[in-house]
Amino acid sequence: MAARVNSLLLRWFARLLAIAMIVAAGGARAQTTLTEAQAKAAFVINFARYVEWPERVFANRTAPLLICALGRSAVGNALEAHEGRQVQGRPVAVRQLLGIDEARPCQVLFIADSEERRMSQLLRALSGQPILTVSDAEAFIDGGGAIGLVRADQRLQFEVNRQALEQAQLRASSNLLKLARNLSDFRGKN
Amino acid sequence: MTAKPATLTRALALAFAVGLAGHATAQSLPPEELDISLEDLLRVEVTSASRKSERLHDVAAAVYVISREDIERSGATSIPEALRMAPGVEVARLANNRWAVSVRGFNNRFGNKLLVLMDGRSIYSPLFSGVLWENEDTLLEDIERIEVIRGPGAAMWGANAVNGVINIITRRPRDTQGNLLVAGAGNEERGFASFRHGGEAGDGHYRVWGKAFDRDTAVSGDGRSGNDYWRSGRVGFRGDWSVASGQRVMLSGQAYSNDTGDRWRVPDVTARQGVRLTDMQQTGKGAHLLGRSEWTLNDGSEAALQAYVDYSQIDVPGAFKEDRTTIDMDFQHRLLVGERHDVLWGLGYRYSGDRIASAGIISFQPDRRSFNLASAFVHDDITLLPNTLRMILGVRFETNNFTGYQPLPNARLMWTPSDTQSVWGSVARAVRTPSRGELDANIDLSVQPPGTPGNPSPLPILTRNVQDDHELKTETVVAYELGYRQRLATNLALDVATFYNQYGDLRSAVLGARSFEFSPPPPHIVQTITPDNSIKAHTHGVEVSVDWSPLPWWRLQPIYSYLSLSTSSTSGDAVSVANAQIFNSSDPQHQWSLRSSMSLTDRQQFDLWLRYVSKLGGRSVPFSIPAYTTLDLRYAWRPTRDLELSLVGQNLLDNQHPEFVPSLLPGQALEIERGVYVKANWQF
Repeated sequence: MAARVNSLLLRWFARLLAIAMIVAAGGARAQTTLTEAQAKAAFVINFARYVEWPERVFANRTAPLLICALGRSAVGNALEAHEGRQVQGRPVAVRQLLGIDEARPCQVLFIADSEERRMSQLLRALSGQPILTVSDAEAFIDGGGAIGLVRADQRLQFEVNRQALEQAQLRASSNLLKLARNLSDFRGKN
Repeated sequence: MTAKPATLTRALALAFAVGLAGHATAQSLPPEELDISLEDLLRVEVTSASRKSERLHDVAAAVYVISREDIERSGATSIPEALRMAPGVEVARLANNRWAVSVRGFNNRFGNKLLVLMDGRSIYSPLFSGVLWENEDTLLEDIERIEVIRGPGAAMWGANAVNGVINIITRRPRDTQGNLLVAGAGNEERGFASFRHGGEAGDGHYRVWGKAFDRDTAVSGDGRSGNDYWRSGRVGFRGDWSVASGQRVMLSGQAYSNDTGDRWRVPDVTARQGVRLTDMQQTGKGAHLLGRSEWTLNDGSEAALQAYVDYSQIDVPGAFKEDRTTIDMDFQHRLLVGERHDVLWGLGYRYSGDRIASAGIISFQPDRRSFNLASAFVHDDITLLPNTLRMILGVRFETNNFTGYQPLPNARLMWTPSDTQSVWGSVARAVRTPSRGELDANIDLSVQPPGTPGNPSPLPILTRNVQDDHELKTETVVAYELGYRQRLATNLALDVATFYNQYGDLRSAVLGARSFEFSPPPPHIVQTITPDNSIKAHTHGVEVSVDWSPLPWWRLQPIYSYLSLSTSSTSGDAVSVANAQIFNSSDPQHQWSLRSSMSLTDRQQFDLWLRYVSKLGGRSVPFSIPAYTTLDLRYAWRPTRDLELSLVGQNLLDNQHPEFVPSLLPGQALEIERGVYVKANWQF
């Protein structure tokens, strides 16, 4: 009995792996794949492209655009890979913060979902400041955050809180709003 | 036959090579490739291995999250079947409509040491102290995740969270907009259909849904069909609204009607074998309404108030009928005190009143009773070293009119030496409150016919469980836990948890007086037994789970659970000794499972789930369930973006196998058959 089950199992495995090999060898998936952290970091960089800050937040025309990360997450490290890249004609600088009190000079702040428990305190500490807040924490925009990254199956989507952007004196381009899950005409299928 | 292992080796080697190659490209992705437009980013698929580990990295408890995707890809058609995916959980199907579910031992149809909550509402039955899984359900597509927390959760969740807590969390209505139609049919799943509609209302979103199904019966060991049919209909809704800035309100409700069958081995002194096989019918009806409000106070702290009312009726004609109303209120407040203290405190009150009519072999005395529970808790999550060391101290005080006052303390330590590693430990005390059934039910348990080895006398002996005056105590546990998590690579995460639990005052019974009864004829001896708390036990075990994505489109999730359980009677009474042996033999020592999820192309998925459960029973107990291995397969195809067709095969490795034996109620143990179904899932 056990031997029968074993041989059956082996056969199943062999077949399964064979299918896997064929698909892998066929290169059926030409799509780019990123780790979740890399993808989130790429989103953050893109958001920075579509948002306009009040001119006064930058010391001069060549001052860097400062992207900060708070909380325990691999996204902070993934963001560092973008350091030095040009966004809106400014070089990107990335800084990982230890506390919210260090956030004042940042233009973009990514708050990891590890900070979910104290999110409302963090957002309160930032209120009124021209900082674009982005997080992958659940219900981030409901709590007053500006852009929430949400996962839908294997893909990432984002939600925008226009009121929060306004309060932070930020202007988001319509291209960004159009792609946001909660604002697009495509009514959030699935 | 001999060629097979060679094929396997070759395939494995290839898989490894491909896996490594895939991994290498992900690691050394040149910076330019990170330059992806927003439109493209929305289409990019991300590997999933890190999701769980990232979120769980900071939790100082043995937690496993079953996601919506996991449920979908497992092919599971009910909540208990989905729970098989979590380590440390024992799920055994007694019949197509009955389950025994427990965490870390003491499995039973009324797995009484496990607390289960659905969106904050307890679905633990005070009648049986356990979950009647045949009555609890929701639209599976609406489940966001199931959090399975092993180990005592009493300091946070209250009594009965002795060995674990299961939180079933449904999706926000905002995420379930539009229409969804799910329908399918198969041999075991004879037919099922669900519909959901989600829309906007005012400053929020809502959904309404309904589902119905009809399931086939299982078979007994001798191949005869069981009476475990199951027809169920259920409707529900949920709405979430933002009322003012920072205030959210949630309202949800459900109503159901459930028709299940069972075949009882009714003890009967007139029957030659001492039992009469009787087809029973059980109808369940119920409804609940739950409201929850969350708001932010001026100082930035967060408060939540939740209340629900729940009505249920279980009717088993010829045995009992229970009507129960529960009202529950819960308040909690979370605030930061200084930089280091994250404090959560709360108050709770629950009323649960019942009316139980009984007949035949069961009688409840008194027939009405209410259970009142008041509780208060406080938790302080203290940062000792920022980002490195945290201590969590918590205690809950509960008082109820059954067993009085109980303190439920818990201390946890969480050490995260690096971004990818964490170590946690915990010591906790928890209790289980005796159920209404344990306190007040008299049940005829068995009849030993005359002239059998157990009964050489000329008269039949009827064993009856009767209540006496002395009070049943709460069962207690003191649990010690140690856990380790590491993300070994971006696509590979490891989670290990170990535990040692000491139990006291576990419920058992003691032999009581013998008497003669002349009615119903023939004259017979009545042997009474009365419940007591005469068993102690200790358990230890290890649970390991790995989450690995060898290729971006392929995910493997192996888990392994080891459990060692040792019980002994503190009274030496024959019934108590026998019960201790039954406890010793009701849980598998080893369980493992491997899930493989492949996204073959954008439109096709192929999933596999292999499970092994070691044997139950032994020489000293009257039952034996052999070890079994099962395989489930799922193939899904999306002809269009909105339509998915899937074919699922379940329990494919054998025609039928038993998983458990009935307990308390004298149901018939059945064997689970191979099942195949097709399903269509259409969003519009």
